[in-house]
Order: sequence, then structure tokens, then C-alpha cells
Amino acid sequence: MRIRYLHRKAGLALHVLLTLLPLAAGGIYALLYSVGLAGSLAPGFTLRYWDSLISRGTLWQTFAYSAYIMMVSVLLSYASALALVISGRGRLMQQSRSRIFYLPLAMPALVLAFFAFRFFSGGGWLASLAFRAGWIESPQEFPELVNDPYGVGIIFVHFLLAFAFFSIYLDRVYANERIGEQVQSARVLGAGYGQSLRRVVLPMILRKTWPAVSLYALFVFGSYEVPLLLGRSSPEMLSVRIVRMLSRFNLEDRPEGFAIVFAYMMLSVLAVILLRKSKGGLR
Amino acid sequence: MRILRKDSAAGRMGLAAVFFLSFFLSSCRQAESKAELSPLQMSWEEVLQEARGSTVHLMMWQGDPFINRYMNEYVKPKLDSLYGIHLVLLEGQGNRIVSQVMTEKEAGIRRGGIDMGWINGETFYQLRQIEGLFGPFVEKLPNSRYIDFDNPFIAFDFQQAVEGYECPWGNVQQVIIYDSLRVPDPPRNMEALAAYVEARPGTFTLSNDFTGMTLLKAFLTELAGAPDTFYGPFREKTYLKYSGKLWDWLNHYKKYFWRRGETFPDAVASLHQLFINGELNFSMSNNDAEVDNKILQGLFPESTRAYVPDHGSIQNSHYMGIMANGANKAGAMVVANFLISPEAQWRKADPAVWGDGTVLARKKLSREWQKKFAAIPHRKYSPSRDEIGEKAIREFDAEYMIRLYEDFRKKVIEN
Repeated sequence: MRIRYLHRKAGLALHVLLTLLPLAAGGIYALLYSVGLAGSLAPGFTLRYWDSLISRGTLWQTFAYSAYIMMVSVLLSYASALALVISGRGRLMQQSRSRIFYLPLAMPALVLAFFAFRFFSGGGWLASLAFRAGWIESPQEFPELVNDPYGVGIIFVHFLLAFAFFSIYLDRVYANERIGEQVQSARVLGAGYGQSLRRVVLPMILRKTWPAVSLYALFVFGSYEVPLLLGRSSPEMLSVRIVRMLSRFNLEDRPEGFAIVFAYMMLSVLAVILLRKSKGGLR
Repeated sequence: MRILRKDSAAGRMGLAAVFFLSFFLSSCRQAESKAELSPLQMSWEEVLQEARGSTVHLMMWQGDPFINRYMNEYVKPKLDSLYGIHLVLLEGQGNRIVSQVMTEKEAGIRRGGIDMGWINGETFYQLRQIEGLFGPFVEKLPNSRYIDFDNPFIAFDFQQAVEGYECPWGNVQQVIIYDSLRVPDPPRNMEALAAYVEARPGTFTLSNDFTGMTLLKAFLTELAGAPDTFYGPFREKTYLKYSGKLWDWLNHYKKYFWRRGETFPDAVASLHQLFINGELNFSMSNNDAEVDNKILQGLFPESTRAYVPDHGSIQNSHYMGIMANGANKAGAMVVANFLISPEAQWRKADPAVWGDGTVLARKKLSREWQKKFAAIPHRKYSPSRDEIGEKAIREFDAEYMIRLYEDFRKKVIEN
């Protein structure tokens, strides 16, 4: 018993040491950097970097744009995966063709982003086909699907990745929670198809999956490679902006980059706390 | 401790760990005390001796197969056979070098992971700001006697005297790249460029990086009428006067740029990509040999050409810097010395190898080397260095670059 207790304590200590401590140290360092108390060129305590960041207004644009990409990508992929799983009645992954769902997950996001660029850009494969078909006369006439104002390219790649993940995940949940059997029971008791969907399937799946979906949404919110390749100069997604600010020619801009890092960390911590506190959330 | 007493095996392991830790720390201390002897105080023979058998970590951009081949198939074997130095190439350029050195410095790491880096004026300015460069070491290199320090394009980097803190390695000039089949008569000035983009919207843009900002410096020169307007230290009034005109011009014509000027490629590599796939009729490069290289690599069509517009273009040098916290400064000095040897520079200047301009003054070389340099084959697709050199503009003070980056974002991209 004592050995098991020690093991548990050691495991916890290791977890704190390897994950929480570096994160906390990173957060403190980012905060100190952003108020002029850390870094090679630290001028001493000042709030001017936060001031300039907040007053510029583009910071809110960055957060809003990241939130928009996150919401659209996750909602679209979740809804599509849910529809597919419900129509497959939790037996999707039992079929041999289900292996196709694992394919996008095995590919790095950057590779998919590059593929999307080659496919959708003005000089890409789709544009070449349109040119050969006589629909366009120059690459400039092809609709903007990458580096576009609405983030279509970014959303497409995130959709591909998330749809595969959600399909596999929701299918497992459908099977493990025996939702099919519950639906059958409801139907025996007189519920219609729509009723059993609204009263049984959706509440059960949503309650079971929303913590994981929320964490996935946070991951999309902070994604880097995909918006770097397929996004625009402005507005930028959060990670792209952070890396740009941390690697700017003017080293005086680094504290502003660290201020965004700190704000982003706090937002993530807040999201995790809310998830833990919510009913059926993270445990 | 209680656990250690209970379990003798664990106790022995703990003691062994303490022993190895002490041994490791004492080794580190010995290594540090040895490293504290600066190679600047040694004779060159002692530097060579110190460097023999050591490993040098060089961080450099590795995005060009020609440059990679030159380094891997010529420089590395030569260093190994001549000096017993094992050269390790680390991938990374300006930002990465500065970030790593800064982070190591802030963490108090005295023996950093990079011994030397391939840098340009931008990185030199940043590394000098954080005192990240070792030196002055250039005079100590025997081959430095051949360097053309009378040339202001070599002796000054972003209007800042090099002062022995970086060793010149090559010299380049910005060129505009175009496809001669698509653009038979490329625009020679801003007025012609404006007319061109109006007639063929969406076929021109600039990258939001060092190369793009370098083009903006050339535009400033045209607007000012004379390149020397921007020579010397930064002048706020001059900058505001001409940059105002530049932003007005860009904001007026950007609607005819690629994607209506609402977005700009983040790097010159993306610009090349758009040029190759036919979206853009122009690209640009800070390496005047790039067109010949890319055609030989099969990336650009053979109809690609390079030119310098009438307003001229920035010519600058690129350098090797040794990090102040580099673990092997002696080895790095030997590498730098080899890279500026007549043989290494001559080989690098060949367009079939790299085509990089030499930093050596030919008149200082032996007659034999002068002949060899004179016999280097000419480029096929780009104008000669002598021809474009007549329109060379010196780099401006670093503050101009800082302001251009900032204002281009605020006043053009986010406008």
C-alpha cells in the first residue's frame, strides 16, 4: 500500500515537475518580460508595452479572428462528423473503408496546408483545370481560396483534420455509451425518430464529448503552421502574430510579443478552469 | 533520506548519482576555465592548435541547394582535411540566431549552442545591441589582409562600422526578377511600375520581409532623387518626408497589386512560389546570382531574367559572426579564415557553384589568383556585377529599417 502511495505521489511530483512547473515558469517569465523586468534590454518596470498593445486595437482583431476560425472549423467538422456517425449508428469504424479516416490524422498539418495551397491557389491545380476548361483566362481571375479574407483555406485544412478526429471519436462514444440501444428503447416506448434524436442521441453525445471538443477548439485557436501558410498579413491568427512579434527586427517589440503570450496563457488557463467547474466537464 | 536508508540499492544509486554529478560539474568547470583563454590573446599558431580536432557549430540558412552543396561537399571536407575541424551546420537564420543567443544570455549560459552564424546587417545590428558578438577578431585572421575594406559596401553594415565583429563573406545586390516572355519591357522606375500594375492588375507585389523592405529603400531613394539622402545616421525629418510619399504611393496603387494589396507574401520564398506558378510576373532577390542558380536548378523558366531599375538597388554584404558565448571561438576563427581564403572565395564566385560576389580586393591577390578570378565564367541570365554595381545603393542606418517594417504594417497592410 505504502509503495503504491509513494508511486502515486512520485507520479504527481513528476507531472508537476515536467508539465506544470515549466508552464508556470514560462508564464511568469512572459509576464516579467512584458512589464520590462526580464530580458537583455529590460528597461525596468513599465506598463508601456501593454498600453501600446491594447491601444492599437489590432490585438482584439487577432483574438476575434482566431476565435472565428476556431468556431467555424470546429462547428462545421463536429456537425458533419455527428451527422455521419448518427447515420452510421456507431458502426462506422467497424467497416474496412473506415481506415480512410485515419489518413488525415497521420499527416502533419503543414503538409495538409501545403497541399491546400497547391490545390486552391491562383496558380494551383484547380485553377489550371479551370484554365483548361476555359472558365478563367488568367490566375488572377480564379476565386481567392487561400490567403483570402475569410480564412477559407485555413478552415478547410482544420476541417479535414478535425472531421477525421471527431468521426473516430464520436463513433467510439456512440458505441461505448450504447446509444443505439437507448434509441431502440425510446422507439419501443413510442418516440419518433426526430424525438429520439433530440431527446436521446444529441444530449448524450454532446454531454460526453464537449470537454474534448473544447480542448480541440483551444488547439485550433492556437494553431500556427496552417494560418502561417494560408492566412493573410492582417488579421493574423494568434500564434502567427506572437511569433512575428518575438522575431521582429526591432528587439524593443519583444515585450509586446510576451504580453500576448501571457494573455493567451491566461485565457487557456481560464478555459480549462471553466471546463473543470462545469457539469460533465474535465475530471 | 529515509527511503535511501531503507533501500540499500537505491542508496548506492543515489551516491553514484552524487558522484557523477560532482564529476560532471568539475569537468564543466575545467572546460570553462580552458575556454576563458581568449583566442584573441593567442598567436595564430596557437589558435590553429586549439581548433584542431574540435567541432564548430555554424548556424546558417540552408534553403538553397547550391549553397548547401558548396558547404557540404567543399567547405566541410576541406576544413576536416586541413585543420581537423568537424563543421556542423545548424538550420536557422537571423531571427533564430538572435533568439537563441538572447535566450542563452538571459539564462546565463556561457557556452552556447552556436559558435558562429551567417548574418546580415539586420542580425548584426541586433546582436551588437545585445552584445552577442565576439570580437574584434577579423584582423587576427591571416586571410583578412585580402579583404576589400576600402569598399564601403563591405566595411559598413547598415551604416555601422564592422569594426572586426563580423567577417565579410560575400557581397550581393538586390535585383528584380521577371519572366521575359510575360514582361518584354520591364518597368524601370516607379512611374512605369504604376502604369504596369494598372494595366495588368494582380501580377506584382513585394514580400513583407527583409527583401521587400530593401525594395522600399530603393523606392525611397527614387522619391528623394539621390541615394545619399539616406546615408549617415538616421534623420527623422528625412524619413517622415519621403516615407510619407512612399505610403501615399503604395496606398494609391496597392489596389492593383496581388490580392489588391490586402495581403503580402510573408517571405521571398512565397514570392518565388507565386512567380513560378504564374500568379505573379515579378519576384525579387537580394542575391543577384539567384536567377542563374534557379534556372540551373530547373525552378525558374529559362525565360527568367534579372535587372536593376533606374532608381538603383541596395548592395550589401553578408558576414560570419562569432558568438560571444560560443563554446569554440578558436575553431570558429579558423573556419572564418578559411571561408575568406582566395580558393574558397573563388570557388564560391563561380555561377555554377553559387555565384556569390567576392569580398576580396583583387589587387591584393597574387597574380595567379587574379587570373583565376578574371576567368570565372559570366552569368547567362542576369546582368554582370559591374553593370548592376553602377546602380548600387548603400544600406541605410538600421533605424530606417525598423521604421519601414513598422510603418509598412501600420500604414499599408493594416490601413
